[in-house]
Amino acid sequence: MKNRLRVLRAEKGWSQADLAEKLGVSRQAVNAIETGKHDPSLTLAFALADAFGQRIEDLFLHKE
Amino acid sequence: MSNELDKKEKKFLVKFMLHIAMFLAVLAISVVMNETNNLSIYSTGFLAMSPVIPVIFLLRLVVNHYRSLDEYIQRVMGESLLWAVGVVGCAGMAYGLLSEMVVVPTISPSFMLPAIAVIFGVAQFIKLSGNTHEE
Repeated sequence: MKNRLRVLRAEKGWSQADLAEKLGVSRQAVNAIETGKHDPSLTLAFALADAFGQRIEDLFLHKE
Repeated sequence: MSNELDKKEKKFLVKFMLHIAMFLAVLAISVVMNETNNLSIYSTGFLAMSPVIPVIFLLRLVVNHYRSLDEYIQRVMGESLLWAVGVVGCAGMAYGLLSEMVVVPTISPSFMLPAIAVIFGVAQFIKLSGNTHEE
């Protein structure tokens, strides 16, 4: 699944480690989600949306 | 990774090493006792299998650690475990079939768990090494 995490993270000036700490996950998890290697669970997707102050559908693009 | 995760990892590593030390100690004691004493068949059998006890505690530690990990690391660990069990299982089956046809040296089944652990570690390293760099 494609997503806008890297762009949004850059806008906030956060590193992957910063975002990982906010979410309580590993930096590898953030990297895997950003690169599309891992689709997050609904819980983690909501946590990501909360961290960026956006809606889930603004973060993730459902089209394959 | 956050400090909290770092602390958790360090705590797990210390506990892991303690369990390995416990396993080695029990293994050494069981070998020495079996070789120096003339014990009954039941005592010998119990002593021979006793190193598995700390391994069971180690397994419990690893499972508890697995539960505390995030979903991505859990996925990586799950896939790595599948690879490890699959490779060791296939290798064991191939060797077993080979031994039916050709005379080959006997390999103790006690090496199966260490082999699974090593391949599990290698598979995990390969899977995680792809996303170590921040882009």
